[in-house]
Amino acid sequence: MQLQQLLWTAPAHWQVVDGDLDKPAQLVLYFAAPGVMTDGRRLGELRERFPKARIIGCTTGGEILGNQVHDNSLVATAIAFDDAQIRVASRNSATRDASFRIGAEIAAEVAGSGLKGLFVLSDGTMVNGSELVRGLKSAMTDGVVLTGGLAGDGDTFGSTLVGADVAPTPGTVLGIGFYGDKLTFRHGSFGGWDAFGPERLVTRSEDNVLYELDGEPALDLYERYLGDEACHLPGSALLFPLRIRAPHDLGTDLVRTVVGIDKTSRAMIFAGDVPVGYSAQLMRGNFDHLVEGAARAARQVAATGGGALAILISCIGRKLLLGQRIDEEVETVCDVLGGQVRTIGFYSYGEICPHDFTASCELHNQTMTITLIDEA
Amino acid sequence: MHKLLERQLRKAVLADGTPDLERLLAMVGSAYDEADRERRIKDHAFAEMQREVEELNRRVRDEAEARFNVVMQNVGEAVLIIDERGRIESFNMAAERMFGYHADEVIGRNVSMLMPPLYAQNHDDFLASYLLTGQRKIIGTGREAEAQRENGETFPIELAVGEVRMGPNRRFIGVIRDITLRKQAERELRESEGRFRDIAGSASDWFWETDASHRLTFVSERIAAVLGVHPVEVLGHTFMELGMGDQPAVAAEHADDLANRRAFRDRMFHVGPSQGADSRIIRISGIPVFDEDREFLGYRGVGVDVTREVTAELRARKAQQQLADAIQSIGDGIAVYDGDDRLMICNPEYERVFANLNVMIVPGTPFEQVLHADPAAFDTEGLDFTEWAARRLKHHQAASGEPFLVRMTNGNWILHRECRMADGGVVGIRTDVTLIKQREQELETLKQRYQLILDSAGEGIIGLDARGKITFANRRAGDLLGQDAGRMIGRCFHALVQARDGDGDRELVNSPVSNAYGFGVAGEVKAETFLRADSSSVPVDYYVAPIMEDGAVNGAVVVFHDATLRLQYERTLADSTRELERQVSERTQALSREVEIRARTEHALRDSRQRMKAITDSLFEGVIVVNPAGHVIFINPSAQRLLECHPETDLTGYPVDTIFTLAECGDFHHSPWRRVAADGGIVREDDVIFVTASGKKVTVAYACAALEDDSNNIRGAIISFRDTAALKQAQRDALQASRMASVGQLAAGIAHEINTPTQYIGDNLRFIGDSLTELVSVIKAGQAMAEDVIAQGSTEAVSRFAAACEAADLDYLLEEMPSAVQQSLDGVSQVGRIVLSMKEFSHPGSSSKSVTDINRAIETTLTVSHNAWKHVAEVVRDLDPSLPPLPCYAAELNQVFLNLIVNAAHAIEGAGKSEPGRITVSTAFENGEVVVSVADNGTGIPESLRDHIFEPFFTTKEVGKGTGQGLAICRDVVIVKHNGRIDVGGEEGQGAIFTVRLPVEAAKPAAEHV
Repeated sequence: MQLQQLLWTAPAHWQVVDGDLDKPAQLVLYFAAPGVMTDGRRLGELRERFPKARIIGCTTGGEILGNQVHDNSLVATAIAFDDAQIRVASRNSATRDASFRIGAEIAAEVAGSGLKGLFVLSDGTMVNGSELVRGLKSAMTDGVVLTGGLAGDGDTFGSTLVGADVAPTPGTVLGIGFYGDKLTFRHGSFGGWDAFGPERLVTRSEDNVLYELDGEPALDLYERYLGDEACHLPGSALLFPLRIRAPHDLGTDLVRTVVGIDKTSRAMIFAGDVPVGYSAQLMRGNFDHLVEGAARAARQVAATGGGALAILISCIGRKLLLGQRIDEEVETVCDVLGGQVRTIGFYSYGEICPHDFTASCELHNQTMTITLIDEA
Repeated sequence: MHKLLERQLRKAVLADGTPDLERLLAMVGSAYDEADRERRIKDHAFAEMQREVEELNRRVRDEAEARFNVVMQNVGEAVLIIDERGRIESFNMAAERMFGYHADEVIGRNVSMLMPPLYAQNHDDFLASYLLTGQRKIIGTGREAEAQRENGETFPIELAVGEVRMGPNRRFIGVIRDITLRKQAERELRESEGRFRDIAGSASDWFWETDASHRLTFVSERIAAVLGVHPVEVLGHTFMELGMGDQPAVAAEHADDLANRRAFRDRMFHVGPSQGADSRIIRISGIPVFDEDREFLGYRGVGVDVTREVTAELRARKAQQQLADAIQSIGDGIAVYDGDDRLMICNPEYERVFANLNVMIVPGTPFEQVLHADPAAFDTEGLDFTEWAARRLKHHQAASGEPFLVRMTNGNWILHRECRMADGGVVGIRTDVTLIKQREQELETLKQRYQLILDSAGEGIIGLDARGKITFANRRAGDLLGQDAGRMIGRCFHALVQARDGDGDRELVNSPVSNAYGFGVAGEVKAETFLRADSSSVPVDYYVAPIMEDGAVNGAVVVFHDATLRLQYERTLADSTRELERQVSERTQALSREVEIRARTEHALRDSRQRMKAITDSLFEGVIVVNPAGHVIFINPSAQRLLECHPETDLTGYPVDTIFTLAECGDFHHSPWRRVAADGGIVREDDVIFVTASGKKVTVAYACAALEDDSNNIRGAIISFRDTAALKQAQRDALQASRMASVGQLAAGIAHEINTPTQYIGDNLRFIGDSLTELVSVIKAGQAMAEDVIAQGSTEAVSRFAAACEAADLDYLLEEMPSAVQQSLDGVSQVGRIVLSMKEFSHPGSSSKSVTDINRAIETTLTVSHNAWKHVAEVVRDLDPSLPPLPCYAAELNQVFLNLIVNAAHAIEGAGKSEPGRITVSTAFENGEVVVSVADNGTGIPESLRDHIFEPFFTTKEVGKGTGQGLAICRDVVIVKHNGRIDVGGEEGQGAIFTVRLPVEAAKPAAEHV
């Protein structure tokens, strides 16, 4: 497997940051800041460089390449496999209600012998991520690794775009199936957030819209805790993700991040479902704990040290909190993975990865999620 | 260098490699802001969290306290809290209710105020001791104690004390339950148990309990008095061991109940030796007992000594048996019906009396059912049985004990008496009094005869009883005394005839009457005077004879006659002797004439009877006479033979419907015989079927008329009938013969019909044959001419051809030959039509009906009969084309039409009228009937003959022209076989019109055809 990594920034234009290909790339993964792809020129330039490759990517809340975090850039990795094959399934009319069906259709379309992993990129605001993951799982073969993430739109939660070979569009969901005997697919995911305050009960919600906790409007609670920061909602709510847990089940903690608010109904809108009856606890981030969390995710991947590709999908909430220190989590991950592993990634509105405790794939928030692809 | 600063420096490097200080400073400033913000947010969140947690704690505490208070105030038991010194700190509502204090009145005071003095004195010491030693006396255990209410009343309580440590302090929580009611209940329970023991001891029943293995664990004391055994002696035993085991049937049932844990009732068995004086019979009932977990514990129940009841019942049964035996042996029929009127018991005599009902005489049968079992058994004396039975049932239900007679149809008389029993049932006693009744009847007859004799006697006869009162008097006696004979009865004879004056008694003393009474001797008196009712007197001679009974005079008979004549005789003896002799002579003559007439009459009657018998015996017709009930009272040998009854069997008295029934009528009740026997009149049928007892069907003609007596009362019905099978066969034969005859008669005419066309077909063929010869020569000449003209142009050949044409008369041949051929073809088709008609007409009759076009049948018949009418008449056809097809016997109907047409032709011929004859045949469909009429303008039929023309062998035609069967056959075919009608109309001299009507729907034969 050969890799070439490229970075585009407004002043510097394209730079080949690393690697060289002596055969045509089959796949180019790119992650772009909002607005970078709008005029279509970047896509044309990539097509010119990699005429035979599937060019697939999405918009972000920040781009990762190597051990650095960029803003207002485009990062890309061109991959030329030795043997492995890919197949892409795409749907571009996603709605919240159709999320499950689309997930199932995509998983069914890429299913086939030799499938090792399915990497999914999805619209981050129009899709119900939890349903999408359930749909994907419903039609997947055991043993195939499912990872991916929801596209971002900075910290504005507006329009998120995903595309394969054409200009990325809102409402698109796509999956890349990786096939090949030599392929290995690994994954790791960890948050590092600390739960605090009393445990509450979800008393009213509808899918991913949380109306009440212990009978109190959810927005009231967040406003109380945010104090002066309440005026920056919904972005500032990313500082307080919500840990939820099914009744009588200690092993399935999930972290939910806020993606919007509804002032009329005093509700908070999350990136995944918040079912009634679940217990919920506010979380807060400690800089050091978050960075350590990223390191834990990297240790779960247990890199071989070869020329593998690690796709880092981290949550926009982490970036908002860590500010200039956001680079530290990427640096830490790179340190753990070792110098031979190439890294690319983005800050997302949701991460898709098997749960480290149940091994069942879930939609996560506020985690550093790593997918490692290697062809030995 | 700090990593952050390092990154900031890296990012702030300008393109030339020098750091952009402004940007660096901005990043550093921003980093500080970010850190501040993070701290601020963190602090705020922690403050908020702390506030929230405190709020939560307070809420939890308040809730706990509120919950505690609610529990305290609502718990049913009194709860109070005291401190280490015994001072009350808390006192709940239940405590307020229990002790009668308000909480305010007790809080802060020592708890001993709630105790009676005895407890109160020691309480503080107990408390102090516990605090000092830690030895618990009551804490954690609870006990019963006494408490005292505000009003000083003490009451039992159950007290539980708990200890609560709060820091260094201790509190004691007392929970108090008022157990007054429980104590009271316990006391009542003890009393109840005592009461139960007393009752059990005094009851006649005794009580028992067994364990799970059915061994007695308890028996009440009463058993000692009942069975004479001490309870201890039976404890540990089972009922089986106590005697039940000796009775296998009871034991098996009991064991089954025990095994299935079922309750049982009234199980009886012997205890002790079953025959001895000590033998007791006890009856036990029991129910299984289970604990709360449904674990079987044993049985509990009662026992009672029933020896006396059982003995009494045995005695009652024995008495009942004796009664039954007695009833069996009584000579009268006795039956006992229960309150529901069902037969309980009856003796053989009762069964014998109703011998023919004995199937019904079984216990359980309701009386009404017995009554209705055989209606024919009872002589209802003319009443409808239902009405009679209703009366009889009413009588039975009244059970007045009044005797009444019922006559059976077998001639027996049964005296019935029905008495009400104490239990609502009825005892019916039936005595066969037929013999007595016969005697009575004989006696009555005798009496009537004597009365008749007495009444017809020429002398007055009067009977007197022992006291001289008149017991009877004959008509003559009444006449002589000017009295109504009936009214004389009961009056004193003496006063009646001799109370003329005061010395009447004296005279009587010496009269033969007194002699008869006084000495028992008869005597005669001449010329005594009896008083008449109109106070005139009549001279009488009388004779008195005593009536002796058991040697004593029990009355007398006085026979007297008017002595006026005698006295006159005596006075005019001489005159009268001659007259008398003459009278005697005349009388003698008259008598001898009478005797002679009587002898002749009797002879005539005997002759008549014998003649009658001879006639009926020799009649071919069967004669049966039945009474209104349908029983045969007379049947002649022919009837027996026709109905296949054995000639030796006397069928008199048999129900007529057992001998034969009229097909489609069923039994007598639905037969015409019953109607005639009830309402009179005469019923006749010519063609019906009698079904004999063996099921054979006999085709008969019958007449049934009412049998009346002299007073015109209907006494039954006379059925006379004859077997018409032979007649039917004869009619069928005649019909067939007639058809054959018709065909034969027609044959000549038809031959003529065929002959005419055949003749001219022959002539034509011959003509055509001759013509052909001529034509052949012409054609040959033509051929030769043609050859010659071609070869040499000779004219000779032309001349020869012309000569040949001339010789053959070619023009004539060419004109006539097509006509001859056409004539021949017409002739052939005419022959064909005639032959087809013949075929259709003479088609053999079918045994079943076929759907036939009547118009076509008529056309066929007209064709076949053409020769019969063509010389005398023209035929006008007025056939309705819409005539529906008719299911019929086509061949037979053809015969009808032929007969009518031929008759019409004969009538026209016979009339000899100058006008041309005309036969009009028309058909129409009217009211569901096919109507065919054949009219002629011949002689017509005189009114006087119209009733006879359909009779067989009746004809008005000259000899040799008619057999007299035609119209009879028509009638039979139309009426009998097609259920139709045939009528004759028309004016005499103007012609006749015969109309045949054939129903399309109900075209069913009135009789069966074989």
